[in-house]
Order: sequence, then structure tokens, then C-alpha cells
Amino acid sequence: MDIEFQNVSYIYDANTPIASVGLKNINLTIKQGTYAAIIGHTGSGKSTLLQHLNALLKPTTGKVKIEDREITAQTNNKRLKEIRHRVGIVFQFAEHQLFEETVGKDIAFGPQNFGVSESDSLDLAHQMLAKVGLSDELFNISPFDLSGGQMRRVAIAGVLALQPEVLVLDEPTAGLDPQSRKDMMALFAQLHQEQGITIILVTHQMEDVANFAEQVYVLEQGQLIRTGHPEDVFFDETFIQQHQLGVPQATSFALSLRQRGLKLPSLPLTEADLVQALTTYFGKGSVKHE
Amino acid sequence: MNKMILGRYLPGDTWLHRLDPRTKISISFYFIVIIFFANNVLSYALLLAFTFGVIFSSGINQKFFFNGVRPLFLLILITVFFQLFLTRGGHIYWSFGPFALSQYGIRSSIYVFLRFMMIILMSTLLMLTTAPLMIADAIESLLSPLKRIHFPIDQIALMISLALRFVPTLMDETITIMNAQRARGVDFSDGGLIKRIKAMIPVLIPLFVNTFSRAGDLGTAMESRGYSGEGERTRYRKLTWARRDNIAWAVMLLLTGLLFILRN
Repeated sequence: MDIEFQNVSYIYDANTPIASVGLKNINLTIKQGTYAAIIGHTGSGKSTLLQHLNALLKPTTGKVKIEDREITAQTNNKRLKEIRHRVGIVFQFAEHQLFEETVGKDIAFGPQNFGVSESDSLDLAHQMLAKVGLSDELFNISPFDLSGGQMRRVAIAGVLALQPEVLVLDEPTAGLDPQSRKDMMALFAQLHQEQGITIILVTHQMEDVANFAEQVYVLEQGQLIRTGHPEDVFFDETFIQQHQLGVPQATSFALSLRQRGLKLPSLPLTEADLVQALTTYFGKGSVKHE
Repeated sequence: MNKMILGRYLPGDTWLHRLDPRTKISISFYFIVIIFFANNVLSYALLLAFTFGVIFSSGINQKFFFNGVRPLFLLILITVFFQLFLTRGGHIYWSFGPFALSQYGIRSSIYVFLRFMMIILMSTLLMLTTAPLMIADAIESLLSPLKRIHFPIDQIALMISLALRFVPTLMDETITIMNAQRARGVDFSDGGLIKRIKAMIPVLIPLFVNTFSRAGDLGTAMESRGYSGEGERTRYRKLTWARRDNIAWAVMLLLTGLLFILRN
């Protein structure tokens, strides 16, 4: 399911004195099966853009094409359910969406809204709970008795249970401990690889962009200022400095090595790349780990 | 929900913004009281002219203002409807059971409509041009004489300002949670009344839970910074009564004088 933005602009509180621009003339295409990352500073329009991906917001001007459905300012609010079924969104602090009596019921809530029978949806809930790495013993307890990290996992399971074709993640790992962060990112990567799910990740973690994303979109003040592969974006030093963006640790490490006169043949994006580059440099490829 | 401007504040620098919040609040209440003294066409015309005069000279975006108060007029119309058909007196044009369309009914319903309209316009204007925290400060200052009888003004003022402070936060959070549930297939605009009320449960429960936990956090944060209810508090923003506030009250007294000349 391809998603295409054509000249999309969004204005908050349009036609009032407090109107403010959310998005300005965005054009982009996210192809089916891509792992895309959206980066940009706070207030750059990332969350506004993300809400256009399943018609929670409709463009003030321009149109969003989600496969063959066109969303414009005139689009009726009814019949958007199908889009929302196929595009799942994990919001920032997703644990705030939990409300049911038990963890299982909460995970099953989404599928039931889209017409899955109660028993099928509960089966799904068991599967998803396992998928996000939580024990099945939690199935019948109240989500409000869980720890913050567990709640986040349950909320993510609730969106995964929709079995979306496109999974949109708004800083899904913010505030999680390092292990949970790793687990969650590995889970998303697995869904992407095994089921070909399109992943759209909004993040401030440049490591995650470097490790997983195939395409990066950089937003600034509501405008799309750069699109490209992570290498193209992160290795463009002038661009990064101009817009005060961060780079992955491996890249920044290599850059400081270069500053000190180490002539690395290529810049690394990930830790593995960095190790590779260093071994090539020092041992001309002949260094072996003992 | 976006069009509603009740309770919203529009930052600005008009003469209405600059008036002392105490002046604005006391004048608003005073105005509501004197509205009830109007009892004929001329006195209503005077008050209407005053109301619209204030609105037009305030420099507020007119279209935004009137679009924003429109939803409230629906509420007034219901009241007016009862007034219109349940009041009897004078010439009766039409009647059916307890309902009648009479001369007095028509007149009093028009008056009721005008009263409500002026009250709504004025209080909306007050909210639009006064920052919520200023309102809380003004209430505290206006109620301060009650301290003599050991009424806990400080605590009440703190409660009011905290409540006002968290209105926008809660609004944002409601929208965020509604979006999250919409993304999970909840349709808030579909189905009958019962179905729509049921659709609000997944919004209300997280909202309550978050609000309680936020209140707890806020209490902890305040205590850890040494807050306690007792003790004289000094303040960062000082309210200052200026010449324009005297002028505003002089205008109000003039208006009252005129009103009593014009009324029967």
C-alpha cells in the first residue's frame, strides 16, 4: 500500500486569529514495504504529518493518497475505518490509550472494532502479548497494575493486533529502558522483514535511523527539507550542521577520528560499519578477532 | 470543538487586555446585575449599544468572535422557546392547551433573548481578553476581605489557578487519546446516542487515570519545592489599578445613570 502526499499543507485553527502552520506544501511517496524514518526538531511537523497517514487529520490543501483512496479537505469523515484498519499508529506515550479491565481485553479492543469476533480477537491478543515479549500470565490482570514499560508494550500489542499493512510509530521507545528499547526495535525490524510491513518511524534516535531505516525524511518548520537514504543525509556534513541535526554515534565517532588526521576510507553509519572501517584502515582487512 | 471559543484566551494588547483583571471581572458582574434593571425598548437599546460598542472597539477579530459564540445561542433559543409559549398576558394570538402565543410572551421572550445574549457576549469577551492566571489572581484579590473570617482564600485561589492552568493540557490530552482510539477503530461520529456515549468510555477512563496521576505528581513536585498552604505568599505578578480602571468604572456609573433615566 503506497502512501503519497501531493502538495499537502495543514493549518491549525484555520481562519482564526490563532491560526498556525502545521505543514507546508509536502510532497512525498512512501512505497509499500519501506522502512522510513521521519526526523526533525520538536515542533517541525512530524506528529502533524503522521496524523495524515490514516486520515486523523485531513490536509487543508493538497491531497494524501493512501493506495487508491484520496484524502482531501472535503473528504467525508465516514468510511475512513478501512484506512485506519490498514494503517496502524502507535502514538507517543501509547500507554495512555489503555482503558480496559484486563490486558487481554485491551489488546483485543482494536480488532473487535474492526469486526473480528470476540474469541478470534482474544486469540490474537494472546499472540500479540507473546510477540511484544510479555508473559501470558499478565493476560487477565488490569493494565493499570503494570509498570510503565509493560504498559507501553501492551499498547503496542494493541496496535499490532490490528494486523496493519503500514505501521506508524511515533517515538515508540521514548522513556523505555535500554533492553526494552532493543527488543521493541528488533520486533519492528522483524515485522518489516518477515511480513513486508511498511514501517514509518518518527524518532530522535539517530541510531535507530541508521540501523533500520531505508529512507529518511527531514522536516523543518512544517517543510520537507530533505529526502534520501540515511547515508546521503547523515554524511552531508554541511546540511547536518546547517540544520543542527544529530548524526549516529558511529558516524560522529568516525568524523572526530578524521578531524584528528585518521584517513578513514569511508564513513560508517552503524557500529558494525565502524568496526569494519577501522579494521580495514588499521589492518588493511587482515585483522582478525582472536 | 475547534470553533468553540468559550474559555479561550487570545493574547493581545488592546485596551481591554490592558485593563486590570479585577476591573474586568467586577464590571462584568456589575453589568450582569444592571441588565436586569432594563425594562423597556430604550433601556435595552442603551445596553445593546454599550455591549456592541465594547466588542467593536476591543479590536478582537469580529468574525472569529461571532462564529465562536454562535453555538451558545442554541442554548438560549431553547429558553426563549419556553418563554415564548408559556407566558400569557395581553393580546393572545394563538393557544393550544398550556401553550399560547401572546403579546406579553413575545415581548418577554425577546427581552430574555437579549439579556442572555449580552451576558454571553460580555463574559466571552472577558475570557478572551484576560489570561486565565490573571482571572485567578483577580478572584483572589477581590475575595481577600473574606480572609478576616478565616476563609482560605489562598488555597482556593491556588485551586482555581491550577484548574485553569490544566484546561488546555486536558484538552490536548483528550484530543491525543481520541486520536489513539480512533486509530484503533473507534468512530465517535457514528451511530445513535447510546453508541456515541459508549464510544467515550475508552477516552474518559485514560483521561481520569492520567489526571489523577498528574495531580499526584504535581502535589509531589510542589511539596518537594517547599510549598505549604500556610504562610504569607508574595507574588510575582502584581495587579496595578491604573487611571484607565477608574475611567472604566466611571463609564459604568454613567451607564447606570442613563439606564435609570431611560427605564420606566
